[in-house]
Amino acid sequence: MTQGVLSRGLWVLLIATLLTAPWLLPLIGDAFWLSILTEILIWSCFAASINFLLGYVGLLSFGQALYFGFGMYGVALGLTALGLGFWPSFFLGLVASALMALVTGIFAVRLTWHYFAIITVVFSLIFYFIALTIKPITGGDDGINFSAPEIFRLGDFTITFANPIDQYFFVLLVVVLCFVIVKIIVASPYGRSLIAIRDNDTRAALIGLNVYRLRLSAFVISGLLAGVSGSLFALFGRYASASYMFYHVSGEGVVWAIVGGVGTLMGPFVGTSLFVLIREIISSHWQHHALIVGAFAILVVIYAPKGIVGFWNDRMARKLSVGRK
Amino acid sequence: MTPFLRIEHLSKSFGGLKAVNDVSLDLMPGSINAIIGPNGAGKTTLFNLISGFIPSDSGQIIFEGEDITKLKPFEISRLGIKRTLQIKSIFPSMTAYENIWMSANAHLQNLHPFKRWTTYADVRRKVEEVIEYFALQKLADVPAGTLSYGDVALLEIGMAVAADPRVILLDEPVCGMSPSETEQVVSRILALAKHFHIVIIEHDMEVVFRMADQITVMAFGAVLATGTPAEIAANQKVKDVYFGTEEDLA
Amino acid sequence: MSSTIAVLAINGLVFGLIIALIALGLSIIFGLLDVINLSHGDFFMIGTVIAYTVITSTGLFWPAFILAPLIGLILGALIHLMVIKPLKNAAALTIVATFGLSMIIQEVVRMTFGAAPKRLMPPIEGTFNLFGVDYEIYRIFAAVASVVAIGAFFVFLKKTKLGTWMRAVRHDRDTATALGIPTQKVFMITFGLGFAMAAMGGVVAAPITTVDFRTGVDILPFCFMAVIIGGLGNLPGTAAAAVLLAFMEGVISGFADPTIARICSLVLMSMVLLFRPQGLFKGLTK
Repeated sequence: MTQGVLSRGLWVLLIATLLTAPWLLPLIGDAFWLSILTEILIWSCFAASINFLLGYVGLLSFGQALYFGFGMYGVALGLTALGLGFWPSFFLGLVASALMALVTGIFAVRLTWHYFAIITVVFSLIFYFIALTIKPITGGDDGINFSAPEIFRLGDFTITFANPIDQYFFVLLVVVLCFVIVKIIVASPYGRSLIAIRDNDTRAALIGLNVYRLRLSAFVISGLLAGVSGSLFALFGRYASASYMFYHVSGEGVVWAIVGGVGTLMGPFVGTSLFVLIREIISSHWQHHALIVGAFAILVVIYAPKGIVGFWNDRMARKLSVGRK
Repeated sequence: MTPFLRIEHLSKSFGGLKAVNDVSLDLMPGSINAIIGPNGAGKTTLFNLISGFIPSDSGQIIFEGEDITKLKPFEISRLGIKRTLQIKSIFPSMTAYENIWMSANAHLQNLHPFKRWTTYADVRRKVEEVIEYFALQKLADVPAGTLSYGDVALLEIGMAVAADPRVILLDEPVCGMSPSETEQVVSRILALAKHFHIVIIEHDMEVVFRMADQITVMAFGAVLATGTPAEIAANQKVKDVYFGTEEDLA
Repeated sequence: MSSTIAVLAINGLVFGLIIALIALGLSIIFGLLDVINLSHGDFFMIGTVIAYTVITSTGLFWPAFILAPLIGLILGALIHLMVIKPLKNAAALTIVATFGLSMIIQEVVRMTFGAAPKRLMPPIEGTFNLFGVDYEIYRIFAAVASVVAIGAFFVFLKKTKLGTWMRAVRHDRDTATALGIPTQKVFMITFGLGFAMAAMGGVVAAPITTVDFRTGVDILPFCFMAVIIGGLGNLPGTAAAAVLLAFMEGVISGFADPTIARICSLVLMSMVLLFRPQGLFKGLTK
């Protein structure tokens, strides 16, 4: 079996599983696993935002929770305080997160490496504390609740978030769209320029690339991905809380992205799935699953720094070259 | 004949040290210009100033009539001034082909975010031309980070050529190479000089005297002498700076 | 009203001195090893836990002052050997590793010590009259203890062989190695020392703060603020910044929400990062 056939087979399996999950999962377990899968998809998008910046641009942002938060509150406040409908609220979340990424990025992208990572945390902390302070609007750590919005209505027929299957497919559609867009961007001249900057930003400037502007645009794209995740999260949980803007959320996203495999397309999905499943499966038996998360993070980083998907890709490449000999 | 690059009273200090001290230089077209001098003479600092890496304290750099003194590196690159670095610098995770592709594509300022990068036929043609010219076919699909030092040097020059440059600044292009590698690179540079303005920093005197039409000698941040190879070889001040005066040897 | 602000300001001063001790530990780790140590706040927390355990099991406070730094030194050295050193300074990876470490430390403490926050009675009881308020004598002791510890640290750096090695490695790693200084050992000791200083800060602070597995999370940003605003590599600057920030936050808390005070410090930190990355105090101290 060649690598091509193997990976295509895996893709088909994955797509088939994702499409039939609402009916497959209740057969092998509880229907509540569909909810977990939906959550995995939502957080994969968050991990993907970190992976995009780190894997393809070489920038480690430890503050993506900020844009997640703007997406989340954009939807929540749109639906509640502003009385907007579903689609306007959803887009409000996206626009808010992208704008925030632009404004903070203008400053953050001027810095490199350690200082960039630090300032992304600082910005996210500032807005976390602001969100706590304006509790009447944001609900602070307690948050705001609202009811499941309708996506579409035609007479008596509705597609609504209150229906777990409708909800799952909407999330699946949006997240898959995001992953596909990332894949296309990475293979484009723009994406290749980002990778060049990651490899060697001096040489990139020397061949005529405007490194600052390219990094800034990538930062906005990344912020938008985090905002998508936040918007979907608010719709899914019917809930928005400042606590999701705290740096711990950003940190977990970084762990998922790195364990999954930085610079790979499916790394974010694999890493997120792993940790959400660990949380679900283990926490019901043992309340100290955080130990496993921490230990896992450390072990992967030392022994398999390319992450699960990276490790897999390397093994496949090696098998291919051995097969050729 | 007007110079393609004029440097006028250029100065740069680092702390108390004057790395480039009131340097004025005219680089003429149609000749390979070499800049030589002992270590610490300020040659690479001069290149860094020209390509915009560091800001100058005073003075001007004029390229084809345009003042480029305050421009950023990527802006200077876009004007057609390309350069190689002393410590060879390419994109290690990309193949040699992709490296050259990046340079050619950046020259066209193509940043399309959605079309697949392989679909640009004009860029592809350019890259294949350059690979052909530098005989890099065997290395085209090898990650540049694994290439030998000599191949990386060739790749760097190839990347510069792929971007339709007007000037190529070569910083020690044959540094650390075997005699056969050196020969390869030298013949390439001589051929390239017919199409582009070339400025070289080099330590290998044999190479310099073979290739250069104009030699500028720098020492202690200042220009010591400028002239043809014959004039420089005969210049007593140059000999002193390289071999030491009678007093030093005593 | 003004006496409340005065008291808050002095509280800020006291806390600032304790934070200065902890932040100095962070600064040497960041400065020498280039590691952003996200578990540094948890090192502090362990110090508070050690203090609590020592007091409740022996009735004495003083052993904690020896035990905590010692445990910190050993644990820190071990962590460096097992977690940091294998990563060879890959920046993203070390951040993740220290983040994972932080999770493990917090969870282990939660498992053994429990999740409920506990309070400790100050070993030096009694108050005295300060601006018309009964001010705890222990707080003054805490401030003095911190100053002594910080002083000892600077003496160590200047006068001992190990301290000189650390300064050499910080100044120029390659030259230090070429001179025969065992840089890997220096890294290990630096990490251990950083942990020890944070733990010491924890012991000093334990009677005036809650002992809880989450206290590290609050301390961490504060320490980073002190390091950045004081200037990376500028140790006296870091200590000064810690005191200044805590003092400033104390005063602001007098007439606004403490959260607002924290926001102000963070904004100041952003300004420094963006416009004066060498820190506010560069050039003012040697």
